[in-house]
Amino acid sequence: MSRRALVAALAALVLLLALIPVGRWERGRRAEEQVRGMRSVLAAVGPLDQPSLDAFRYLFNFQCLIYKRGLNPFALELCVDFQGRLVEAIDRRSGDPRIWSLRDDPTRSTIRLDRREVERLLRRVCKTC
Amino acid sequence: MQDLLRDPRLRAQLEGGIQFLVAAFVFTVALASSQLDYVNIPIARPARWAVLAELAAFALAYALTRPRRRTRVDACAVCAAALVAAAFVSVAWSSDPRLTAGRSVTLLALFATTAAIGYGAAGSAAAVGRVLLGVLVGVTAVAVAGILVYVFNSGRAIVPATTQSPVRYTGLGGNPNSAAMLMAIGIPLALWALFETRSRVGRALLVGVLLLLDGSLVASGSRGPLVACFVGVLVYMTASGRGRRWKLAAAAVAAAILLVDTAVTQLPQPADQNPVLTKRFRTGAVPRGPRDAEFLLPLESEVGYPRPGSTPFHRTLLNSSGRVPAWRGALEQVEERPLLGYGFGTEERVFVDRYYLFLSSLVENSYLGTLLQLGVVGLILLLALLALVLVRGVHDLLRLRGDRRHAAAACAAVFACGVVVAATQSFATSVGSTLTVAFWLCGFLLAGATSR
Repeated sequence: MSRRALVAALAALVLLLALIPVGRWERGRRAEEQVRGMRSVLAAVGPLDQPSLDAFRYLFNFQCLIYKRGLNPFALELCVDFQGRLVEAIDRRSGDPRIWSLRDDPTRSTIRLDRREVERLLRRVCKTC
Repeated sequence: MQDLLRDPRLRAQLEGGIQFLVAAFVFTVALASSQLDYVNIPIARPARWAVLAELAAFALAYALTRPRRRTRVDACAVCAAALVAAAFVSVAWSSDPRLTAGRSVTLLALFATTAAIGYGAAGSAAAVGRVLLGVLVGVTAVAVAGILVYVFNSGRAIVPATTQSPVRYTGLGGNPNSAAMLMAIGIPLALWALFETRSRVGRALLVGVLLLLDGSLVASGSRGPLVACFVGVLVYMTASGRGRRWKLAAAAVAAAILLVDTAVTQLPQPADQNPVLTKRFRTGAVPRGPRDAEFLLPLESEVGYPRPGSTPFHRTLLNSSGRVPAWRGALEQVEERPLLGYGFGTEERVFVDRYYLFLSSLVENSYLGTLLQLGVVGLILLLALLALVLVRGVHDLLRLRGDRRHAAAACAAVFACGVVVAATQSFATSVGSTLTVAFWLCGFLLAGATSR
């Protein structure tokens, strides 16, 4: 291998390694943004156990509690995985859904809900869950 | 050892093996994505990796048999290596590192295999032709198998008409687009074979193949592959080194066939009522209660979900089948991690289908899919690789004559066709997709066929 080729290979290697912190920073920044959005929906919902809890979803990877606001029966939605992590939150109060999600990267969610409480509430709106 | 590697009989045997394995791989991948549930997952999925491993072994051995010539590392190889390296490095920021590592290995295997075949066949029209014939045989086998599936179990070979969309032929594919992509690249290849064949029987056979492939493509109603096929045919006609008058006539005939094909795709009409689901599917779709939101506002159809009284959607020639909102949604996801994306191979995991008219777990656009997986850096590498292969390949083939030029033109046609299909299908870096190996194989064969 010529000296020029060696230098080029080393430069490429350094460039590749330099991508790692950038990629990780992007991942972390995105997770923070999504967590911030999910927190805002969580705050808009208030306590999980409330009369406006009106519907649910029971999906393979996560389950959702859906709260009505005014005439909108699906206004606020919180989706929790089996570890109790909030992985998706949707705000439909303005009409168009505003979605914050870490479905693809659930380990980055720093919001934990009481899974037993979630299951109790699911059973309240879903007799077969 | 050197004598053995330079033995022309060994090269011929390896070429024969590669020809068979290429055809077998194309067929096995199509079978793995088919709706034949007794063979697709239990047999064809593991079998395709075994065939790929064999093909890789043959390809590497074949590359070693190439008469020794001074070779230099060119820009195509650098781009391909950089794309693979970026895929591997993305393990560090992927949300599913194991998936990313696995998919990166398959990308490496794909590029190493196809590049080794391209390198081994470089400069030999006969060798390139044999491999191209392998692709054509594989595609034709998929088309014939599609007809057989239709004859013996029509329900598995079509998507029935709904109130939104007319009936569509899937053949052996898992959906109307997956086999149609193969038919689209098969047509320019069949044209090349037709012009290369001297015997009457061979020509009659190839006319039959052309009709079969075109019929399957039209019946699928798949618009992206239809346009891509036209582009591929045009590239073959204009690059194959025949006279200007011939080229103009050929282009006019190709355009006329495209128009006729397009008109035929518009003949089937949507149904008055949606088909009744079989009992087996109905049992899986029972609401868990009156408040189950999945049956009132499903998450996977939320965007564009029709409100009571809204006009029902009908698939027409020019509407997007829900791709535009899905692409917009994917771009919004890209904005969240724009530079380096979510990690190679994670498109299916990261992209969330929330779009009423869109039915896919993938973005159905290879460029957006790459943007999602590897960000702007990955997309630049992919586009640079595609541009280098195509632009330089077409530029270099213009100085060739005779069989070498025809074979190179066929490779360019398939590659150009794939570049167009990539705008409507996610396949370019996914080895398990029906078109991927044929696409990159023809790209690297083009680079080899035009090498000095």
